[in-house]
Order: sequence, then C-alpha cells, then structure tokens
Amino acid sequence: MMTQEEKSQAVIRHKINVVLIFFLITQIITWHHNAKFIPKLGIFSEPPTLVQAHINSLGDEQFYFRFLALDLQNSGDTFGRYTPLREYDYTLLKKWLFLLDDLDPRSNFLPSIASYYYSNTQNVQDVRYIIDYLEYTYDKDPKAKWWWLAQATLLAFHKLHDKTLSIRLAVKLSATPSQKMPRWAQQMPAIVLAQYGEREMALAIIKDLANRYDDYSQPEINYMNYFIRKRLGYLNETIDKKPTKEDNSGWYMK
Amino acid sequence: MKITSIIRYTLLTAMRDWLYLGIMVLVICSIFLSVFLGSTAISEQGKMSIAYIGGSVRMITIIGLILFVCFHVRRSFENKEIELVLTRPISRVQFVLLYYTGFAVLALTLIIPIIAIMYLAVYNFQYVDFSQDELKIATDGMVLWSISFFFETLIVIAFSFFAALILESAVFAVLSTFSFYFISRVMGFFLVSIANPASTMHSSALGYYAEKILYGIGMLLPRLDMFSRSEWLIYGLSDVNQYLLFLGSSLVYISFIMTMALFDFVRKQF
Repeated sequence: MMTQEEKSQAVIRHKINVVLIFFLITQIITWHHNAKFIPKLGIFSEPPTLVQAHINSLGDEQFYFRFLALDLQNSGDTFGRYTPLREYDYTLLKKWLFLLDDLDPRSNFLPSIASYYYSNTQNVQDVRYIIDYLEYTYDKDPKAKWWWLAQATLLAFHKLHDKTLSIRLAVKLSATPSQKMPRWAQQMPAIVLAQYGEREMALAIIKDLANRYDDYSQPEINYMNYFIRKRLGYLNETIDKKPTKEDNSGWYMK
Repeated sequence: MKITSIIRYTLLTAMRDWLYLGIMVLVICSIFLSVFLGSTAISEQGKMSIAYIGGSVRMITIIGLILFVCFHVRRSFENKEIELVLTRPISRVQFVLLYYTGFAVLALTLIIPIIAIMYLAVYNFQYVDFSQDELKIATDGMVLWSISFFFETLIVIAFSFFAALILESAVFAVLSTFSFYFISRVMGFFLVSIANPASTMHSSALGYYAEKILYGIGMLLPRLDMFSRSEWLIYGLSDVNQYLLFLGSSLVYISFIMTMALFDFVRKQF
C-alpha cells in the first residue's frame, strides 16, 4: 500500500517521463528541420594578411604554416567531395601560396603542390598564376630554389605555350649563380629556343656555355654534341672539349 | 622537514591525479595523429609530421601543467594541506620555493620521456624526406627545442603557481594563466605593430591607447614566441645568441614572478 507521499512522488515521476518524451520528440523534429541547413563548403577562403597569420600562429609559425599548407593541399577535396581543378579560383590560390611562402620560404612543399598538382588545371590560363608563384619563391633564394624555376619554365613552354615567358624564365634560370645547378638547367634557354626553331641562337648559347666553363663530364659533352647535331641539325659543328670531371649526372637522385 | 618531502609530495599528487598517464596518452595519440596527417601530404611528409608533433605536444603539456598546478594549489589551500605543512619547521619563503621546485621537477620528469618518444618519431623519418645532414640538423634542433621547451614550462608553471596563490578560484587562475600564455605568445607581433609608424592602430584614439596599454603590459610579460619553435625541429637553430638571450631572460622572469608570489604569500593570513 503506497503512502500519500509515495503516490505524490509517483505522479511527479510520471509527469517528468511524459515531459521527457515530449521534449525528446520535439528535439528530433527540430533536428530534422535544422538538418536541412547544410554548411556551404567553399574551396578557398580569402587568406589572412601576413600579420594576421603571425598572430594566429601564436608564436609558432612553422606549426601554423604546416597546418595551413596541408589544408591548402586538401582544399576542395574534403568531406567526401572531389572538385575538378577548373572550378578552383586560382587568384585566391595564388594569394594563399604567396602568404604561406612568406611564412616559410625554405619549405619545398608549396612549390611541389603548385607545380606537380595545381598546374594540372583544365583552365590552362590559370597556370600563369602557378608560374608567378614559382618565380616568386625562386627570387627569394635562387641557389636553393632553381628547380622550381625550371618547373616554371617547363609549364610556360609545355602548358601555356607562351614563347616570350618561357624564354625569359629559361634565361633567368640559366643565370642562377649556383655551382650545384646541373648543366641542363644552364642550357635551358637553348633547349627552349630550339623548340621554337631559333636554331642559331640555341647554337650560340650552347657554344657560349661550353666556352665559359671547363668542368664538363664526358656525358655532358656528348649531350652538347648530340644537341647541336641531331636537335639543331648543325652536322659540322662540334664541342671539342676534354672532360675534367667524373659523371655526376645523377647527383640529384642520391 | 626534509627538502625533498614537498617535491616528492608534488610528484605523488601528480601521479594520483593521473597527470603523467593522461599527458603521455594524449602525447602518444597526438604523435600518431600527426604522423597520419603528415603522411597525407604530397611531399615533405616527415617535416609535416614533425611540425605537427612539436606544436601539439607543446600545447598538450602546457595545458596539462597549467590545469594541474592551478587546481593542485587551490585544492591544497581548501584542504588546509598548506596550513598543515606550514606548522612544520619551514619558513614561508622556503615553502614557496620548494613548492615551485617540485613543479619544476614534475615538468622535467614529464618532458624527458616525451622528448624520448619524439626522438623515436623523428628518427623514424630518416628515410622519408630527411637526408643524413638534415637529420643531424633536426636532431640537434630537437635538443635545443627540448631545452627551450623546459624553460617555457618553467615560466608557465611559475605564473600558474603565482596565479593560484593569489587568486581564490582555481578556474579564475587557469583562465588568467591561459590569457597570460596567449598574450605572451603573440606579444612579438604586437611589438611589430607598435614599432610600425604606419600601423593602422594609430588611426584612432582608441587604437592608440590600446597600443600604449599593450606596450605597458608587454613590459611585464615574457616573449614566449621565442621559445620552442617548431622550425628548429626541421631547419635547426639559426641564431644561437638570440636563443641564449631568451633562455637567460626566462630566469629573470621566473625570479620576478616568484618574488611576486613570495610578496603575496608572506602577507597571507590563514
């Protein structure tokens, strides 16, 4: 037999159960209504300024740089999405690349994703933004970043088919003050000019480089002669040099 | 009372509160997560992972120590443990200094295994995208990063301890220390703005006075943005003099904070 107080408690518990069920159902109905509002996922947002980025980094720019760099790599391909590169806003991408490069100019991650991934856009004219960035990062440290100017030259030549730009970049690459840069990078203006049919100029450049430097290996001399005879068609021209160093053509693979 | 008793007491409390286990589990999880995230990069996977490890491990340790110090000190006040200790033959000055030493030893015993785990993780990347030269730079950088990280924790512990001594609420002490940490970490960039005559902060009276106030506050804060930088883990240290200067100035700052703590504690009525 329940006492009056127990009966009162049971009534309260019953009322709470009813209210609980009511609010549970209300919550589920509300959720179904709210679930229609899906966040609009963009690809790139407007990047912060460099000062804002420094403040956001809380004094650890490297950590922040790596965080944003990976985010940039995955932009547009998150939450199960796959976005074709033609839908990316390359003006924003360029701003992000410039900003992140200012945060860490030594890293090769950004030029990697720029030249090997983002350059594959279906909108070929957007490659110009990538080339702008690769030249920008090269200008900061030509000795360490010559490889990326070589990539920019190839993009200008093969993708943009921009003769003026590709020759300008190739000449700039050739003038890089680096002893470690291989000969083929110095010969890039000749290679590009030969592709455009400028054979005389290409020959002059190859001969000038051959005369200017003495430390050639036998394969490098062989290549110059091959280039002059087979690619340029000057059968009577030759580079007559003795090799003064061992073959190190695969140095960058070591 | 033995000098080591308070230090041992602090370490035992940390173990009782599962601080060691908690931080270690989080650190290991963060290292796995960092390696996973870093491995999704198109290039420089090792460098990505190491930067993530450095940043996340630092945050986990700092947050863990702030929470532990603030709550431990406030709880010791509320449980009358501090009053009990002070009934022993120990001066208030000795008590404060020993308590801080206990926290410093706690930080050291936490950081050493963390660094050992980090070293293993970094060593793992030697075949990924580190040449032998780069690996040497990275491991040297890790030693310097670890020393700097220890000094950073000493500063944060000193401030947490000070905040927990003078403030009645543990939550308020934690929030104060977080604010201190945040402002100290970005102080360098406020100084950039203050030193820049063309700064947009000068365009309004409010901005002008905010800058003056920040400058005043900045004089009483350490430059934590110059400590344990993740870039040292990848590119090594570029300026040894600057590194040593900031380690030295951390000793000045810790002494300053501990003197403030003593100033308050010797006047405290129980």
